[in-house]
Amino acid sequence: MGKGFLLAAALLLPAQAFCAGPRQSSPEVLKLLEGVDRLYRSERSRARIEMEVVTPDWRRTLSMDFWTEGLDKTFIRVLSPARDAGAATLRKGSEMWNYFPKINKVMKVPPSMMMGSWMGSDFTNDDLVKESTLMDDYYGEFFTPEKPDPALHYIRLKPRTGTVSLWGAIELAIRKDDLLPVREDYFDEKGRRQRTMEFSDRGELGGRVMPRVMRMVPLSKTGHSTVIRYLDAEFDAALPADTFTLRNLQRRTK
Amino acid sequence: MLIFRMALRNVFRNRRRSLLTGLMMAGGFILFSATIGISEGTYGSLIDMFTRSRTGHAQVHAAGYLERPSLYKSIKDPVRAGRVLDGLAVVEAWAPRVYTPALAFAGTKTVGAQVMGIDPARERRAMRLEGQLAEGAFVGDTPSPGVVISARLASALNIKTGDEFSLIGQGADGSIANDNYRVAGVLSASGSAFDGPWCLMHIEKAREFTALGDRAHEIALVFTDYRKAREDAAIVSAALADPALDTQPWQVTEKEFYQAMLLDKKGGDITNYVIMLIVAVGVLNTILMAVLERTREYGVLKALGTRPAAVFLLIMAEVFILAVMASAAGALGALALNHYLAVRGIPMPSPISYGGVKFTVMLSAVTAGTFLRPAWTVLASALIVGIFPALKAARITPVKALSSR
Repeated sequence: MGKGFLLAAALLLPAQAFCAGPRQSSPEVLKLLEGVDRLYRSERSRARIEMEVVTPDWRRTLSMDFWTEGLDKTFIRVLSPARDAGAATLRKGSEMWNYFPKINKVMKVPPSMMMGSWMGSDFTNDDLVKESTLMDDYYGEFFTPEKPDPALHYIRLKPRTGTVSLWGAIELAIRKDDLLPVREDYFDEKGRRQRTMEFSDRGELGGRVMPRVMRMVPLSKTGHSTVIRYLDAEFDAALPADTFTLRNLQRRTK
Repeated sequence: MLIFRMALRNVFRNRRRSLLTGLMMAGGFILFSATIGISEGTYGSLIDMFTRSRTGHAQVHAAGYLERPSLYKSIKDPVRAGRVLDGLAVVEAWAPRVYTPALAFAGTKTVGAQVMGIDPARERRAMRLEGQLAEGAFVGDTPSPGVVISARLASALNIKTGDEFSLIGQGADGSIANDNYRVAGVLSASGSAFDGPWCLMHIEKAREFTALGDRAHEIALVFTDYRKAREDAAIVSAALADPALDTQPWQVTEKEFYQAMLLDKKGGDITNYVIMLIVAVGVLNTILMAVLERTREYGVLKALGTRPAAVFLLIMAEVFILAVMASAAGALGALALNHYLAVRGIPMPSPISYGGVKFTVMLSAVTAGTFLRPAWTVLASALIVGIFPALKAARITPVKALSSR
């Protein structure tokens, strides 16, 4: 079983879905996705990212540190802007907490707010938590789009029967040469595209080559987009033992 | 002209009868006029009490805010709007406001709250917010963490004056708004315009909380005459000359209150019509008796060759003269009574306190309608009820009439 490390992987990439023994994934799809999975997996990770959120009403850029361990532990601390500095998010399994240093308050995110925006971005709280369940909910198969690019593999993820899933389908485009993802399209149950994630700026990051920029565009909200840029990353280095604890969440930073 | 002179002579021929009929009409006039005056005065007091408790006589918002309020639908340049408002004679005072929903926390309690950012100095000139305070102090004129909360929020969070609590909301820049506040005062549980879980803070603190910059969500306006709210709102709208802004009078911003008031007014009108019906029946009775008394006289007139139409007109003219004289007398009486009621009023059996004002006495408000409506009603009802006796007299058979005693 692979282990997640990056925000994209932790938030969205459902690569884990395929190595969890999907009933209907062909051996080729499985092999390909296992390759992607290996590329994106790490026992532990630490990254510094920049998140730019654009809406018709405002635009803001947040800088944050990001720690992950396995698939189910994520810790995020906002570094800037000053108004949000010190705010932190801890996710352990299906539970999630936010910390607000100004009022020194830890808030557990209630189930009713899981579909709410995370830090004002186009990612939902649910994106942070639900990733680990995607692997149980979807299976993959090759498909050919209307205008295929011969340099890309196209894989469509579909929900398994008997599972309650958020998306009707997820389509992935993966480069054949280095198995890096290029694009992900999310469809609702009526086959309407709801959001798109684009991967770009391939380059070295923590000793690996991978897309360093991710752009999420929700198609239902005109003028909205969220861009995540990886500034720095480190994989499989030891993390302090208390990284994924409520005590660490409440630690005030200067 | 002859008919009119005969009618006038008839009116004064039996002074006692005419006096009784006239008194009936004048009494109805006075009663009706006083009812209208008190009704107008009471509604005027209620509107004043209501509008100056929070809403104002009109409000300026960003277009679309009233239909669907949003943190982002804000007045981009309230300073420019303020300069325009300062230059308008119809605007007595104005106050900018910022609104945002938030989650309030105190101890283990969490509750949804509505934050209202106010400019205390401007609100003091425009509204009566401070009068709605039950305990503690009002929001200070300079920005501070001291806020005033509604009784409902205080009870939901189980906090009182001096306690601290936190608010979390949405910043206009996409950030998570969060800050700590101290309860400076608590609004009255009853008779306050802030029923819900309100949190009133200095507008600069609210702007800081929501990262709203210099913007505002609302400018509450107080006009020199609340009765001209619709016209004055149109004047303000024209002066602001900004399609991104929407100016609406209280009748629109507080549609439910206005409609409830109109419905109540309609109920009051029914009472007035009942009063007039009683007066009309009384007039009918007196005129009918007067006609019956003079059956022989009409018989003689008919026997001399007077046409039925002339007899009909004669009686209608008598009724008209009586109604005009009664209305004139009624107007004088109503003026005196309304003056007394406008100055002294009718004490309320149980005073009402709302929006920082204690409503202890029902005062009359005198307008042209206070006299015109009763005058038209008296004249119209007298003429209508006069038709029946007049027709009866016009159709009289001379032989029968002359033989009657």
